Amino acid sequence: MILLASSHEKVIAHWQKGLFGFSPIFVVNNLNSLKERIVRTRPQVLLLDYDLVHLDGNHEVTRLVKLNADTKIMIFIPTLPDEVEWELYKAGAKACCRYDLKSEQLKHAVKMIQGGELWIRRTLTHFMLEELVVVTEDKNRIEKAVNDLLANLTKREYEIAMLIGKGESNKCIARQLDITERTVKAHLTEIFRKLDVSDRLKLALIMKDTMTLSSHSINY
Amino acid sequence: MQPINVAVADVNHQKREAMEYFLQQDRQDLAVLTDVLSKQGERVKERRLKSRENITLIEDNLARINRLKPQVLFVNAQFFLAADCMFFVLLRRQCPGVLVILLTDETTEENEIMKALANGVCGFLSYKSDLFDFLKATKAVEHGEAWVPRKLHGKIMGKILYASHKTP
Repeated sequence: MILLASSHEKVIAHWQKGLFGFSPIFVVNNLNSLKERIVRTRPQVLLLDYDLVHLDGNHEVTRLVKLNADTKIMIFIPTLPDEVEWELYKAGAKACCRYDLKSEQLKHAVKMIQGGELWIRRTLTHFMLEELVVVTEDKNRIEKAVNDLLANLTKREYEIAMLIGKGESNKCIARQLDITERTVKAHLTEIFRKLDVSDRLKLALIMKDTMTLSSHSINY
Repeated sequence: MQPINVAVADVNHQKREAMEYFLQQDRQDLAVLTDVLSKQGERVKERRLKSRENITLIEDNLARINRLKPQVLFVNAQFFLAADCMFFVLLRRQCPGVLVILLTDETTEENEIMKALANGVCGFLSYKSDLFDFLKATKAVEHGEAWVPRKLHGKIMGKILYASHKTP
């Protein structure tokens, strides 16, 4: 399903012409109906007129993405500075196109983003690589900081922290490690002190991220 | 228009020289920077190799690039992807203006390419590409664009979005 969102009839007509052969297609002409429609019908592709969101640009796009992460958003924009256009991609847009995009190109762009690709101008691609380097450096820095902290834990404390990351209760941890619940609590107090965290939920989040980072590290 | 200064980094000297020779076929847009001197070439190379016995291949290549200062550097993926892309990390620190294009073959895997891109490489090309493609890639990268196929854009963006949501 493809959802078209614009308050301008001319824009809608241009899109409909380009999307001849695609179905079903629905149209909304204001932001509230758009939000309601995204939640209710979870469209596969959304063609969005920048005019509908331009006051709050990329933040509004982020909010739309949150309503349904599977909806691929194509934004139709006027000429914008490269940095502003790039922010729209960072907010989750899969394509930024000019209003005068030809019908054939529109068809092609929709097919591409339906296939999981990105429609981006070549002149914007250096933003993408620069951002990739920045997030990789951040990730490595965080990973190192967490690993340095975790290195301060004893083997037993580390085992317990990992089990907390998996969401286990004190009772369950005690049973698995063949120790008393009181000992688990004593270890936890020491872990909280060493990692400077105040509760088990924060510890669980750190450990969960550590596990996720380890499983993703192959990709960097 | 000024030609773009390019150089090649490869641990295999013969392969490097073959690539340099290949790029030299373009006499208009590319200026290939080499350290092979016309007459004393062999003697200089011998002396250089001897004086560099105690340094690593990475250090040796970094020193060479620092000396040549190319605008665009073609790098053989095979060796330089090893050791957690350390070569690219150090290159970015020591020669921040050098734009790197990775040279790949059929053994180079996509995740290795992604790793190189995440460490500052601007694009990649197959060894089998023709001179025209090398020229197009060099011009694009020098112009500030990434030289990666469209199908990778979505994957790169996916990684950026995933990491940004994980990073506080």
